Amino acid sequence: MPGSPFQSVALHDVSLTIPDGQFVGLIGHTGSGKSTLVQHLNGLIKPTSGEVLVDGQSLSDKATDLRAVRRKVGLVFQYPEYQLFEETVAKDIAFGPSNLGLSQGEIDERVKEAAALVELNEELLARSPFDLSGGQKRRVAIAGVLAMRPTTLILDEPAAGLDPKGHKRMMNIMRSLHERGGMTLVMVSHSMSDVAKLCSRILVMNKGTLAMDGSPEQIFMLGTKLTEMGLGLPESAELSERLRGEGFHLPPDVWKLEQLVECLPGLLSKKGGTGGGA
Amino acid sequence: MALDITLGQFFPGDSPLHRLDPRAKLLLTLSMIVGVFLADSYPAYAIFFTYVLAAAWLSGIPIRLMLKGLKAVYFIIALTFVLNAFFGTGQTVLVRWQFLTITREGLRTAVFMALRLMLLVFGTQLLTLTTSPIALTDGLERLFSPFAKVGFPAHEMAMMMSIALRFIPTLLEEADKIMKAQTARGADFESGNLMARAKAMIPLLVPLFVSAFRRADELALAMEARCYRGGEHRTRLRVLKYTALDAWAGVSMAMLLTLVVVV
Repeated sequence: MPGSPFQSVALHDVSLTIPDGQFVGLIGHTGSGKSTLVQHLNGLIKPTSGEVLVDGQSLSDKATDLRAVRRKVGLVFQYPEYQLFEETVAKDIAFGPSNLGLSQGEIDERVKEAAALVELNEELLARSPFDLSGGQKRRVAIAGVLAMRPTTLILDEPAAGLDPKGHKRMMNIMRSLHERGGMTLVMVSHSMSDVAKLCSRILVMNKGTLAMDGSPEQIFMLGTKLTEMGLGLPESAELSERLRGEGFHLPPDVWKLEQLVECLPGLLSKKGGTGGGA
Repeated sequence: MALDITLGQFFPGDSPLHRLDPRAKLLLTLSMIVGVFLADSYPAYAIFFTYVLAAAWLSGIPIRLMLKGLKAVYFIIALTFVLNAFFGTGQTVLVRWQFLTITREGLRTAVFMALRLMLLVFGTQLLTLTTSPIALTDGLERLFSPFAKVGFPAHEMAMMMSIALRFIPTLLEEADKIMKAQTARGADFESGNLMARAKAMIPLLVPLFVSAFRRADELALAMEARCYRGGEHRTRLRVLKYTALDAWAGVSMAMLLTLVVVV
């Protein structure tokens, strides 16, 4: 609300380019502007100053067809299961494609395809979405966006509130959408471990601005800076950080679990030789 | 897509108007409403407007914000004015064109009605802009509590009101979010004829109702878990107290009403 005492600047100094085919993790503390940023990416919010370009087209430009942009850039909100409304799962997934004015045959095909992408059993399609479990509902909602066949998919905390099994499954779906579906993915997350495992690039938001942008290796080498922003490191990176602090000579690019498993035996025997009792 | 509603939104501040007891403000507003209908001359309205504008100035609320609230009723004011002007009866005819006549008396009533509506909106807006919804329901509960003896559920009514008020922003936020989510799936809320638009609301309303019921359920459970059982023997965090400020406001209102009746 500009002009009222409730006015505040949500984002400032955010400049970035996301090339096709990248899997980007967007991480940041609560209130750091992650959700506001992703809503700019398909024109749901327009910037008061600055510009957002999708395939070279400015979203602030009146000539830009925002509906076409939203077809290309799919957005899955946080807790998307609360937006389900149809009588059956199939109809709900079909909402997007039918807004595109497709033929019934095409719609049915897309519904099946989208359901398969999120590992939804076909017999669930005839059920009411309100009868499903939380994890299933979430996957239905994601399928509803996938049925638009976007080339880029943005997900705001897709695994929030899921149990460990549902969490793992969601991460596998993300991975296969990127690797097999060839989609550009932007995943907002609180979990460093998830982002570290899946993404090739990490953006860190802090207080409404883009604080860091780089590969997981580059980001996790700045360990203390992350903790200052109230963000944790993945467990494996934290362990290697602490080992270095204890005087172990760990190469600076070691932070993944697999790398640690490889390095540790050598390290322990060396330290054992000099200090004894390791 | 911004869903902002000015009418009835609290504007935080620390002006004398903000510091008045909510009961006093409610009673003052009530007497002002009565007074508006007693006013029957141009000077009376001039005095009234001076009073309300002075109060608005005291409250420190930007006049822009208050005019924005008036926007919602522009149409009603214009309609009332036109209807009264054309259909008011009187002797002195000013304009006669076909079956339409405008008389001096009709015009006078029309102007008065328009002024009355503006004063009503301005005055009640001052109340809701300077009083937080919680203070407002607190005040209402206390004002109605004498009727509790004859079985009027004052506390329950106030509780329902505060819950309803409390959930307006939540539901607005939720509606905004669902609307955005459905827009991202290609929903179109803005174009088409009336039928098409009504149909386009279904993807918004169904999830909104589902979540409203879910929230109601959760809230009821949370209240019961904390042993809520209505107003009996309940003490309160903020005890309402009349101050000298309320007395002064009352005196000024009494003076205004006297003036309005006399002039």
